[in-house]
Amino acid sequence: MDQNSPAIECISLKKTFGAQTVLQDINLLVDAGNILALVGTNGAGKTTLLKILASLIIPTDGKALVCGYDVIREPIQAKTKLGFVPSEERSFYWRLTGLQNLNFFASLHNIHGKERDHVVNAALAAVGLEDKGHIRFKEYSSGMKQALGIARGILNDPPVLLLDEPTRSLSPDIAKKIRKLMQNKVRNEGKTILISSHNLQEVEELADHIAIIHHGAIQALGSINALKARAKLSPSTNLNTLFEHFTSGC
Amino acid sequence: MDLNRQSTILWAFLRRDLLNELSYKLSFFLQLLGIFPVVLMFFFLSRLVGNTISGPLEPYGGSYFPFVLIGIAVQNYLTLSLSRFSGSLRESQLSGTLEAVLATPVRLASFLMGSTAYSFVFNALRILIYLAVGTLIFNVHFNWARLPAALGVICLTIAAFCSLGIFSAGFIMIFKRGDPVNWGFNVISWLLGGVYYPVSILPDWLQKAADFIPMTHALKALRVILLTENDLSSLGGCLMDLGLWGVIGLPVSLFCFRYALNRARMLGTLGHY
Repeated sequence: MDQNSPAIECISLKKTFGAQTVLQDINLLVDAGNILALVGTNGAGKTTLLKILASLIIPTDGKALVCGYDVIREPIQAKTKLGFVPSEERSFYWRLTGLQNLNFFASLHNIHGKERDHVVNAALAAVGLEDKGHIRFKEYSSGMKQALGIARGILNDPPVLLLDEPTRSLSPDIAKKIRKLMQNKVRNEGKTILISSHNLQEVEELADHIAIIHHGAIQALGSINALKARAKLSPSTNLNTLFEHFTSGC
Repeated sequence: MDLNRQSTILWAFLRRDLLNELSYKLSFFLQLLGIFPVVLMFFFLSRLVGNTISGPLEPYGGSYFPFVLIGIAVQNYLTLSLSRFSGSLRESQLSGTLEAVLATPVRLASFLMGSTAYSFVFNALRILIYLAVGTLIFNVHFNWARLPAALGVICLTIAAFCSLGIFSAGFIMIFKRGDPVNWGFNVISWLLGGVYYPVSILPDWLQKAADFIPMTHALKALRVILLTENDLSSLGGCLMDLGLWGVIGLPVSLFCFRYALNRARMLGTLGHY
């Protein structure tokens, strides 16, 4: 791995499921210390792209790298560099407490002993669950489950975070806390975040760059202001209008 | 591969499954209590059988109850532990935790060993209870001095059976439901492996078929070790067959499981059920 490798790189990435093309010719380069938001309608291919980067799906063609590690040829190395937060609630052990769940996943990241206790408690506090760790996961609300997923994603302090609709079920106060956490990770710790979200207001608040995905292809990629200029829209135009501009007629 | 890291991971899986099982307290204790009626049933059955089949039982001490006690204890241990490979995978597909675990830098072999570690440990406790009940309540005499040799055979047997378990887990990875590998192997083991009756009472052609089943060799070796004073050198062939199952079966089954995992990753069905 080259020290100057981009945090995330996709080269001519393609994914088909049978006759259906889910991703086509995806080229992305995200440098460390940036937030890139994937914006697109349901079924646009955002989750598939995140899962390819997390080594959970094998692409049909092309290459994907995390911190210079090929996610297919060097999956273990690539996975040590990332935290993946899926959008699904059902990715924990329901009869275990939040704390027990995080302890388990921390061990899989080779974090143990007192360091594990510290890391797990810090992760719970970061998402506002510091006093909810001893409650069984099955008794968590949807928002708490989502927050625990984010806590799991940051356990190993990864340089790259992949977040699939991370604030979907969160209450406004916790969502705000999570956004602050993400901004802090990027601005102060130099982490990189690839986030998929339907919440365009959140995207506007968080992202340095956006990638508009439609029918599996990137229709536009760049900073929000640059894309507005490219579309000849005024700087005050909202992201929804920008999104429609690049996806209408595709 | 860092041994310390792998043992940490193994312990994490073990702890996770223990916590999960203890959360179903009644089921946990019923599993252990369930041993007593089974042993009792075979005790009465052995009284019915009496000495009517003592000839075929001669190589194993001549008495039916100790013979069948070892049969059901080992068969129970191996089939329950074996089914855990596919069962654990199926559970993690259903609960949605499979993708979450595989998104961490855990190696395939550690994942498979970890997923079944609890079952092997807990079921070892069951086998001990079977033997303890036989000894303490029914006065069965086991050759405890040969326990280390018996443990060696159990290790070889576990390696042989793991290959079948991993193969069945690969099947579940692709087809999600149904487990013909486990089912077929269990039925064949019950029928031909000598769990309830000695293999020598089977027709010649079935005895030849039984030679290809690891259960046959595992039970023969364990019965000779624990129920007789016979020279153990006669078990060389059994141990060789068990060893071959492990040496050839484990890499082949791991290759098959890796193929199944990659196929699921290719199809995007890793988390489907």
